[in-house]
Amino acid sequence: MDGIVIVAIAQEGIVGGGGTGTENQSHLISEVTESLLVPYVNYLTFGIDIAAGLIIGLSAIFALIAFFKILIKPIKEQTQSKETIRLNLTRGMLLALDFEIGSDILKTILIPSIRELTLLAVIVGIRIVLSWSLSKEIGRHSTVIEENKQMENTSSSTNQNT
Amino acid sequence: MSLLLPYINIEDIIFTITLVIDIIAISVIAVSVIQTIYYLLIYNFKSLLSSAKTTSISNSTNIQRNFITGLILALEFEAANTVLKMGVYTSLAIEKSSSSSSILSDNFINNFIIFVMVISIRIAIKQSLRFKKGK
Repeated sequence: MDGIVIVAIAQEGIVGGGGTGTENQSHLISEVTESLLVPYVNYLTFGIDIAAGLIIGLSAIFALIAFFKILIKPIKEQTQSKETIRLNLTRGMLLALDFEIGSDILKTILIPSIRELTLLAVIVGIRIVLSWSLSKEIGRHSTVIEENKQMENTSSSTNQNT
Repeated sequence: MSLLLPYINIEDIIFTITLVIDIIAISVIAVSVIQTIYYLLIYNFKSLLSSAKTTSISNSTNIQRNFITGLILALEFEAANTVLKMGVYTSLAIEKSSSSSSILSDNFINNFIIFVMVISIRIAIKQSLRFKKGK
């Protein structure tokens, strides 16, 4: 299909054309590149969007299963486990966000006017801020878990000594 | 794949996923609320029978904390939804720009502004819940 388009454009470039030769050539090259690039970028962004959707969907389903599993635990353990589930979901979201940012960067190739580009820039900005805050949260939570582990280790060692 | 692409609509797929995530978030909130009511009833009944007030206070704090964690978990699901919906917005923006006119309609921009406002409100609620939990 793309080959036919390219041949058609090339024929048009050779046969027709009212301007100078270099103008025609540059016009032809830009049209050929566009005809090749647009479907390729469309396929790529489509695949990336689907992948991001699947990642978030699967993370959500796993989180729901884990949530139902912890319901039989005592209430204090439940609170801790809920935090862990949330952080796992956040990790999935972070991965999907990175995918989406990649997809947005690809989409900027297709955007012609400044208004859409501004909208896309706003969305990418929101995504970057979200991703930064999520990664910060994960870091904070992992330090809390390490501190808790250290406290447990020290308390168990003191119990052994006594 | 190239033959299938015109028939597969990315917005439809993502809207289905967001619908599933919405149902999950609602069920998480419902389970948290039911569980909290159940535990509160049990502990209040127990505290009526026994005279140990300090344990009942710590228990109610734990229950409250557990409930807030459940709400924050549900908000996290909604945040995941938001990420997907933003993808739909960008796809629509590109579709609109490439199809008929390069100018986006005012309705679309208004919807986007409302969407951003909803995200900000959610972030504010999440932060306030976290602050409450920390207390």
